[in-house]
Amino acid sequence: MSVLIAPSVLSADFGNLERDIKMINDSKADWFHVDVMDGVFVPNISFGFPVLKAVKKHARKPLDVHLMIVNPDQYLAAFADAGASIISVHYEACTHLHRTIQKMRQLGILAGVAINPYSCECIVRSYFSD
Amino acid sequence: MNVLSEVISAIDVVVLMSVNPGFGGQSFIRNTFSKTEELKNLIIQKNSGAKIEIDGGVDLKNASELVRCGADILVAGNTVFSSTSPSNTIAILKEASTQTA
Repeated sequence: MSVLIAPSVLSADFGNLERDIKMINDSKADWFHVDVMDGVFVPNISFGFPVLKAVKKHARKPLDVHLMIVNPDQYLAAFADAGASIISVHYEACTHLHRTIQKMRQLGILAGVAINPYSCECIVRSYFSD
Repeated sequence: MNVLSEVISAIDVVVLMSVNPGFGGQSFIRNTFSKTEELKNLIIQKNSGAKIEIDGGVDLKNASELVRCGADILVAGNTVFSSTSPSNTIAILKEASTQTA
């Protein structure tokens, strides 16, 4: 399988967002990576639903939404509604990760789990089977 | 049987952060190579279909090595948008998988 490339919209020129989205549409990229930050889980605030919806309006490839936010469960349905095909939540932000994964599957989106650089990748072991 | 396969594929994507999350343009943390290999082994061992996504500091130098270690998806921000030809940079990253074959 060829590797999938997911350019991150966070690095795009927000003053020319439509231009940059079209560049990704016309490129060999596979997904749009969309970084959502809440200023609590991470020390930065990126953007939320209005920008995501603007991206969705022009994007012709799946939106891979990376939630760097606390309590992601509260917003999963809204991100699915806004056009996310893949949603990744942080292991470090989920008290009941299995419930969160189940909720993502119920929403019909691909379920992703993100792991911080110094958390062990082994934590997902138990989530590969019931 | 369907129930079983749904359980096995409970996670579709594991995103390994290769920078501390929060900002674009940070330097790649090199322990990601071994973490990717270990995660790939775990996925194979568990007979899971989960894909490995690498997020943070992916560039033209580390991309093919990441794919060799088992990465399926590469996120690229600054590497793409700071380059003189973003679409060409995407194409080069895309080629990373075939270079390791």
